[in-house]
Amino acid sequence: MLAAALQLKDIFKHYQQVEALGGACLTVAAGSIHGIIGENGAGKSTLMQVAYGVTQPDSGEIVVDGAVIKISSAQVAIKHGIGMLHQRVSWLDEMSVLENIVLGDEIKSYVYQDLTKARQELEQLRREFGFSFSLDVAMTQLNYSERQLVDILRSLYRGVRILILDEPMALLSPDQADYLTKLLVMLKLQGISVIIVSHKLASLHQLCDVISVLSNGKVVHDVRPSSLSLGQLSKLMVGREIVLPHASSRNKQALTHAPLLNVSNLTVYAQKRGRRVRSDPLLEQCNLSLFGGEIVAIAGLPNAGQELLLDVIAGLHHFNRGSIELFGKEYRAKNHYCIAKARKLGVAYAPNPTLEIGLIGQLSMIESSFLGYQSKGLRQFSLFNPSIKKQHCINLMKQWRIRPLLAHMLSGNFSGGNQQKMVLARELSRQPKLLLLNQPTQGVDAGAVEYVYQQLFALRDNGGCILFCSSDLDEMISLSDRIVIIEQGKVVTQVLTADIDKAQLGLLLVKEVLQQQPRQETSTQGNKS
Amino acid sequence: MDSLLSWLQLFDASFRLATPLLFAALAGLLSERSGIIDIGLEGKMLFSAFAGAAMATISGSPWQGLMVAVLAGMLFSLLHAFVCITHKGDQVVSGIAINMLALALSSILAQRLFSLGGMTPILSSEQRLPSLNLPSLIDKDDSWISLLYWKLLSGHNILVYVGFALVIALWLFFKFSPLGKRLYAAGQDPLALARAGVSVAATRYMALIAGGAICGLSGAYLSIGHGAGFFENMTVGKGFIALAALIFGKWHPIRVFGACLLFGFLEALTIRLQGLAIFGIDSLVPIQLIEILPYVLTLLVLAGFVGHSIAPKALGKS
Amino acid sequence: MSSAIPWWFDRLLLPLLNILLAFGACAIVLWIAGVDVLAGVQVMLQGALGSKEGISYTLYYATNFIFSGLGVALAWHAGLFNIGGEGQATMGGVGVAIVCLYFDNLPLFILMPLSLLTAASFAALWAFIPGWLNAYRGSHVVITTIMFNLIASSLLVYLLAGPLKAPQQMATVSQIFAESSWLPSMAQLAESFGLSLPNTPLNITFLWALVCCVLLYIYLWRSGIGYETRVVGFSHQGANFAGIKRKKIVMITMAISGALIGFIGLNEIQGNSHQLHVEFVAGFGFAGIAIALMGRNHPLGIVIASILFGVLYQGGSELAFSVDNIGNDIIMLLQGLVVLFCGALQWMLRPSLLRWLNVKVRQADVIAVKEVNRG
Repeated sequence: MLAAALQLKDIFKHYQQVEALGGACLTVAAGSIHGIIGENGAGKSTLMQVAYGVTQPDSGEIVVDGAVIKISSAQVAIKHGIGMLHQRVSWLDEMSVLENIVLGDEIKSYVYQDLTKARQELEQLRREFGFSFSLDVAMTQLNYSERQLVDILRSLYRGVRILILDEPMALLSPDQADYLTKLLVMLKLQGISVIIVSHKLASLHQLCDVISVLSNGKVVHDVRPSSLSLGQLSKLMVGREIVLPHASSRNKQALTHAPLLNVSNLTVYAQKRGRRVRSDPLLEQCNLSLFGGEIVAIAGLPNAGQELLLDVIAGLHHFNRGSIELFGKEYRAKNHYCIAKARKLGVAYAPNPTLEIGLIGQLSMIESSFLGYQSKGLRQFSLFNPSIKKQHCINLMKQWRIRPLLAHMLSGNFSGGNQQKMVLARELSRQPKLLLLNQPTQGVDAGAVEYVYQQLFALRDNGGCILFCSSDLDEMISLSDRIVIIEQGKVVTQVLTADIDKAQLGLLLVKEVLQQQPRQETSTQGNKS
Repeated sequence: MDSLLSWLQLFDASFRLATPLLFAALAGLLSERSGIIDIGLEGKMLFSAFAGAAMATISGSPWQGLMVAVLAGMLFSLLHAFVCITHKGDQVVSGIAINMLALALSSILAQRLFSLGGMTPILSSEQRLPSLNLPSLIDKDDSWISLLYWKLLSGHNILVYVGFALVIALWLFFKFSPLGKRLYAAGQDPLALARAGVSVAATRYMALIAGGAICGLSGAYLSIGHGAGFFENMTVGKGFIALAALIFGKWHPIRVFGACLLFGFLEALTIRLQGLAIFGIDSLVPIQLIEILPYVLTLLVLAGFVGHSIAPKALGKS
Repeated sequence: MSSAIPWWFDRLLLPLLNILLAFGACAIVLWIAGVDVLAGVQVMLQGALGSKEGISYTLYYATNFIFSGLGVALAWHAGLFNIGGEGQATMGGVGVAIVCLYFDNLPLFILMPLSLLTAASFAALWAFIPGWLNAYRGSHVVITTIMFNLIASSLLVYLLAGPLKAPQQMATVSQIFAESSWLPSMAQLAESFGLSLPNTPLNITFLWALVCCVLLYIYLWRSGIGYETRVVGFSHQGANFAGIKRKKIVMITMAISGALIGFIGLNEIQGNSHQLHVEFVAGFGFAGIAIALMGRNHPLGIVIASILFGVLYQGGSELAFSVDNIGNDIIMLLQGLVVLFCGALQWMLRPSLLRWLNVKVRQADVIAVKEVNRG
């Protein structure tokens, strides 16, 4: 066993009244790749922020190379050779790569900064690790993956010995992720310890020397991936086997004859300062039909356009060409189709919970329970009679077991899972004909997921239809009847869920990318010019 | 000849009137480039005008007055920084509070110290900052170049030249100095700056305090440079015009300089038109129309009808 | 995650402490400046509340404060910071003056609603334009309303130097309105009920201010559009999701906010001075910011804060005669400190106070306890 490069001992951290870390201990061996996994909210990000000095722990000690130090800020962390690659890269767009990297350098002269030495060092590192971008190019011209590499370059330039990566692969295409893993192995060979936080268990299983499992603010397991299978690893992370109700009992009734939703040739261009950028369609010629009595999933890699498609159908985002036909009525771009109109027709939408737009934290649960339906609410609930509103809210909360049962409490004070349950409860209570869902069960606890699924199946069996997207392949398989695959803003193909399993679906997603590889290359270059 | 002379006088007056705007706008530039909205320019200007005049009266030295004015500006900026950076309070609200406090404190203290109804005594010329005559590079004669040199460029208060120098200095600062780049980054993307290992709070504190000092110069110019003493609410909205100039100049030192000159010129014109009829336009437009031109121009810029105003991205977000 | 903190902590204790802090700081500053604070307070209270006349004046000033406070608060709920009170009040006064000067032959019961509407619409227009600029051009309301303040004051000077100037006067004032167009004072009203009140500028506008408070409460918390207004104020994206037209809400809110502040013109011009003059707004528009912050943007809080400021204003003018020539400056000082402590620094005490009260209970425990209690 190699000596420990970084040790975190008994780290406690409270946010207001919530315990984020409850005595977490972590030991990272020098020159190893150390994976960290855990469910959402287990405290992974907080622990990493503590190590990088962005967050101060309430108690506990940090040992770097055998010496106890206090990391009071990112500067201290950098001084001790700790570097971090954040999930959301943030750079000064109009400055060049070089200027961005030297921004935090020690100031030797206040008047003028001599960059020749920094440039030499960086050039050497750049060549050594084979980064393809130039140092003088502006950050705007780099794509996400390249920006990540700039982050790594900066850490190397500062003599990093412990590199922390927070969800580095979430937004990368498979080949980019592949490149990153190779790079990490290279770093490891240089003696740099790498800590990597990720949900991608399979990648970690291959890559890491040790994996720590976090749960409720504590490290509960330290395992060597070589000694156990991927399935055992995922079981460790969740603490139990997840059994989701399966949509095996597909509704035997015939689907409605006419589609409830018919999207044809839908095209959306990006907008810049109110003007559309023609060269860069976000959605291109999308065609999609939904019949009553089915649940359809839109699958794709992150940012392939599935969330945007939901937004457009819900009326939250404009579209430039094509049409949306809802329940026999056709809307074109010039018809000012909007979310209020969609709701009136019987469309309900539960947006991505992480965006926090489906529920407004500063409103009480009562007021949140009719967000979006306020104009109807004016008639339905006599607004001068608050008790009816309250009763409505209490009924929903009881039905969906939203805890605590305090209708007057601000909705922002409920846990994420309970907030999402309220959004679903509100949207489903309107008996929509078309329900759009983005990450429907994110943050919802496993017990409640089952209830959510039952409700969704009930809606389908009553002749409604559901269109959803999810980052969870399991969820897609268990919930949907049909899967539409979208790639780079185009609907590529679709399959019946009964015909495939999870592995095949995963392969399908990746294969589409592999086939499209040459085109993707040209399009990224198109973006640059 | 006469018309040339009156134009020269007009431009001469524009320089004098533009200078306080320039200092305040440059102070605002530093603060807003670092991401902190500075509505309190008016108040800082007013209070430092009072502090400068009071000190000049008591000590008899304009230089001590200048120093105290600068300190006063820094003190109020420190308060603003404490509220906005340390406590993440609302930046606009804090600025308004500073305006109110400065207005109240300056006249209460003036009343308590001098009992002249909220004024300081009139300063003698030794108690005021001197004017600067440029070296005699050009002979004094009637040629237009000589007139330009002696009537327009030479003989201004020393702070006028400091103001011009400051514009260049700040331009260079943002373009070349590593510190300037950090300051720019704090207003553009504080997260990126923090991740680069630079303390955003410290950068902003520095920017605000430097801005306060510059704002102090603006107040000193009003009460011990151009003017000869302090009276209640003597800035009458100059801080807001400076804010307008800052926006009109799109947060860029050179453009802000241009905006201040323009607004100074408009002010000189209104003063001129109140006195006598020249250029034959006084009967056509009421002077109030010229008076509001800076505001209307700023509104047009803000609304994006004239050019596009590019505020620092993280302005107002803590 | 403040569920473990009792409701009164953020809504009652903290605001009260902030107000105390502001008043305490004010006293300290004045004490340092060499003012006899205790004697001053005595004079102030005596002047403001010691007599029927004093109370009457206090309420008269409070009327202005209520209007400007309500206006600022309404805009605040939509996430807009309307600091254009000075300009909007000016325009309200101009509207009132035009009605009273040119329609003075109308009977009062027609003239009164007419001047009310004109004041409202003139001021609403002055706030609507910044609202429009914000909604459609993305301009920051704070800056545009400041510009509109400055433009309004130039406009007023222009009107009083030219079109509306009283012909025989040197001063920049308008003619005095015909007596038939004056608003009935409270003394007159009380007389018709057989009561006697001292003859002060307090007039019927005070009652209208109270009505406005109730109307605003209903508007904000009992109507659909009020709900939409608050949603817009909390989250633009959330409003978008809820299908609320933000642009519409912004413009309507700004217009109503301006109209409310414009009623200051009614109280000052038609109720008291009976002529248009340059300095009639006298900082009442700006004071709305302090009032709204102190009253926590709630009509009831605003009434209380307004009366408090009314006391200070009336007491301050008494002070101006007796102690020192700094009565009005003290009010400005206090306003500034209130804005500072109740607005900009409103959360300053929170963390240390929480620690001191030791309410650091884990949220989970509290929720568990509540659930047990509910069976």
